Amino acid sequence: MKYSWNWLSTFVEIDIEPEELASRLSMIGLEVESVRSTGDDCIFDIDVTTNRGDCLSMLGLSREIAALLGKRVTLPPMTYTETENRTSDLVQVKVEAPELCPRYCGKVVKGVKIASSPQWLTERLLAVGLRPINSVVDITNFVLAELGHPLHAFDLGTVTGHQVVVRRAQTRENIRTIDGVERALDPDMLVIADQHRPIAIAGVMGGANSEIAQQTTDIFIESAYFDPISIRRTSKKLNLTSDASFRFERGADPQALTKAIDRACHLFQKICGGEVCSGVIDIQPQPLQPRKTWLRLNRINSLIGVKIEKKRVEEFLTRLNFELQRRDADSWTVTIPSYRGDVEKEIDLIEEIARFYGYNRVSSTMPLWKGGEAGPPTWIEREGLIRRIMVAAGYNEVINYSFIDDNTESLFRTKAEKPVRLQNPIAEQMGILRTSFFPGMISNLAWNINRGIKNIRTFEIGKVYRQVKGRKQPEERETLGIAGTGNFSEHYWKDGERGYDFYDLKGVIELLFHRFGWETLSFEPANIDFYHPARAALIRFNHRPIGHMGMLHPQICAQVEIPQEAYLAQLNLEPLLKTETVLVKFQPLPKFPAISRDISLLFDRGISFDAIAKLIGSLRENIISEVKIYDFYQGDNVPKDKVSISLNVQFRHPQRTLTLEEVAQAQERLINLLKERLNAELR
Amino acid sequence: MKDRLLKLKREFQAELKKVADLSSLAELRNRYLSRKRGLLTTALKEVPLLPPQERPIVGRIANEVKVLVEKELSRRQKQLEEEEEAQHIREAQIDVTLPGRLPPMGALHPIMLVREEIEKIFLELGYTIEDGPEIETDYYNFVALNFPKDHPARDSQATFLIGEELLLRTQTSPVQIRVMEKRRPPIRIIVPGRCFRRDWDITHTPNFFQMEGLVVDEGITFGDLKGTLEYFVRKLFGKQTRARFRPSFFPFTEPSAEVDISCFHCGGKGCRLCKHSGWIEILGAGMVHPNVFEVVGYDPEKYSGFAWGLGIDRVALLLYGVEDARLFYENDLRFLQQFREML
Repeated sequence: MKYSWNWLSTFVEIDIEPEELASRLSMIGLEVESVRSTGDDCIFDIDVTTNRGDCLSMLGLSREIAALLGKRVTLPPMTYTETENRTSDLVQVKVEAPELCPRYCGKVVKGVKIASSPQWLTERLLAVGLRPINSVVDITNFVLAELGHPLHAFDLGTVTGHQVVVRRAQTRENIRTIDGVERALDPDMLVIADQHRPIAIAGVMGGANSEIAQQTTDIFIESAYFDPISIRRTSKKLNLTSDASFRFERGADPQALTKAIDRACHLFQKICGGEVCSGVIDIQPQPLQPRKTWLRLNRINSLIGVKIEKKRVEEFLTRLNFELQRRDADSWTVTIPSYRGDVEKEIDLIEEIARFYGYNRVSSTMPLWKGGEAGPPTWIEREGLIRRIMVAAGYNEVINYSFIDDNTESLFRTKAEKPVRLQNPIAEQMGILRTSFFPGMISNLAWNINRGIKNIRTFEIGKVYRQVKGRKQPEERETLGIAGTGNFSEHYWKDGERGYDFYDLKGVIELLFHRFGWETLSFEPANIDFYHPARAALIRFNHRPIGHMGMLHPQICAQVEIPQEAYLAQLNLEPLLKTETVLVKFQPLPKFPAISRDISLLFDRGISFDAIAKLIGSLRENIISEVKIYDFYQGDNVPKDKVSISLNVQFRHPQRTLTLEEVAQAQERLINLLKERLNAELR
Repeated sequence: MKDRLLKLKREFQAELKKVADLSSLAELRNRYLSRKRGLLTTALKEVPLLPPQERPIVGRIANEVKVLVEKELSRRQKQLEEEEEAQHIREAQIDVTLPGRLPPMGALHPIMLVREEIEKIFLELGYTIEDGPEIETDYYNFVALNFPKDHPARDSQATFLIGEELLLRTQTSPVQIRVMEKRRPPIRIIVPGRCFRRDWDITHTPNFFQMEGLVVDEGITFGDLKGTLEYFVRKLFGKQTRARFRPSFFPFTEPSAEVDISCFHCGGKGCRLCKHSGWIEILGAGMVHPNVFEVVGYDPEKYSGFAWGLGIDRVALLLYGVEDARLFYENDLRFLQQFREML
């Protein structure tokens, strides 16, 4: 909100420079965003926190300035002469919904002349960013800016039956507000009505039917205290805010109602030449009692951590118009000013004291530790380690938004998976929470390829989300996504190159699990819609599926405009974060040398290495210590239905050096077995 | 005979001068010293056939010539070997200014780098780390944190709604409630995590990361909050960094503070980064509100505590001088790879 130095100066003597005032206001919690000099005035733009609705006026800010500088606040003139006409003879007010309107005041001014406001008044309004309209409306806005209480002026001539009724709207009732919009009302909303129809949405906006117009002569001025929650709900429901609703929802001052009327009447008489009718309508079924709380000195000191003298405590609070009464030597009963709706309890008073004592004067200490948990939990350490392994293996960490386009996402989820849908997404293509990392990670690949970066390896750690049948709370699962495309090696001088492939991706996944000593990881061919049908695998850990990997289906690649093979994997990260690490078990170093033999064989196409390894493993040949694959070839010189696999076999005896004959015999047995059982042929 | 020997010597010396490499040297050695047909060997073989009176003199000369030839040959041999070695070394010369081949290392995301940096500072102080769900209930995200329904304080946190009671958490603070519900003091935790607000501009993305801190025990004071955060900002932004505490409002803390740090870019003199104020707003903090303690069943007369929160994305923006927060989520490798040495 904007404040004018000159206007503030009519309330309180400010004997410091504007810049200093700005900085001191900021240090008591009224953050001055800017100070702008305009000829002979100075405009402060202040970001008032939502709890300090009482500061949203010149008077309100003046109270804080006065407390800061140790000055007094002077109220503006509020005097006027009244005619014999009585307000209560001209209008009858009924409050039918007192729960939404604890107090309602009103007064009639007759014979006003609607004209433009005098220059001094329009200048004030313009200085604080308000638009002059006509003298009557300007005066209500002026009083709002000055005292902080919203007033509304009705054209009394349009109020049928001389009746003003404060009631809930009826079902299917409508009103056209002064902004020209027809609005549907409901019984949760409070309206001001005449005998027949609503003439204003209480505390939010007036109706066009009772608006002050050029021909208006008699006005009814409303000054009310409406329930903040009701005003906020109405304003939200109608998507309509006004200067009035902004104040009411932050809590107005119930004791300021008649003062605001008096100030307005003073101005009406001065500017519009009206006759102010005598008496004021004031309906308050349950007069509000002054609110009180207590305050203990030791509580202040123990929470802030400094000793503040009793005298200082009393001074700070008294300057802010709190009334203190000693209860005993070290505590007080405190009466709260009616405009301080934000203050209820002792803690609120302690904040006031800390604010004026100065946060920066409190000496800094470190808390003393007494037992309790300390140190990082396992999952944090694991996550850090996994991220470092991925980085060391050449993968770049990415972070994608959790929300995603439903259509793209649906390619990557099963029909059974129900995504979590946002009611109010920020963009249409960000309508659901991701069940899969792939749309995000694939678009990262496309983004980079479009910018000339073709060799990409990325990973992401985050959550996927989905609805779970019978549970209100959707499931969130820590997930790891990995993607790779382009050439495997970086493009350095003198380096060889080859394409990133399935086995690069598989290798890094194996690395992660081996890091924690887990060997029970398996990959089996799988048919998953979004992968190339011949290049996809389901990943199992301890026999349970924990993820999948493969080459992105060429059709999807084409769809997302990725002109090269892309490999992706998605894994449930939770087993990696939770399963207990298996410690490395030391194997004694071999005492006798191994003999190494290479064997090249032709197998039927479609053979799996797993089958060969299992078969060799089942062979009771205790001198075979290791079998590795060192070449895999299909193509020229190999029949179409065959594949050439070269194995490297290590023979070793734990207690002695092997003879060449022994090795030759074992090798023979091995080859025969492969021939018999897997239809292999020696090359 | 004598003349023949001296002639051989002269000829050898002349030929030796022409020798330029080890193989012609070997040839030369053969020509003179080969056991069968070497010129000198043959000459020497003739010495015993000379008349006895000539033998001693010729023999001595012959010997002198042989010693000289051998000596000269080995001297030259050594010289040529040294030259060859030097040549090998010259040929092995590399250009040390060519760029090194970096191992194909990836990079951690800058937001995660900042997250870990902050975690490290507080772990060293004896804190532990907690987390909680990203899909929260209205109760944990707002009500329990003293944001009543229909309160204007909710306006500053534009919320993504999922259902009647469910929403995407707008802050990591609901984890405070969840932790206090299941544990008794002393509590000292930090909570890193993904949060969501319906804001989207150059400094705000609808998906961002926050870090939360909470300490609850007997006798925790506002001074402790100040001391802790002053220590933290010095650790994160550098020894010279000062913190300034301004009163503010957060429903779940009281007294509440906005914490500014002296600009680490200009040292407080005023620059573009701190909008010429010398200060940068970085944290929200305060003493835990008694209403929050009541919600979790802690006695506010017995326990006190402080809480703080900051935007990790914002700190990353400031620390690395990134100008647009949206870069964090574009995942452009040219951006990400700039952080590869930060591991």
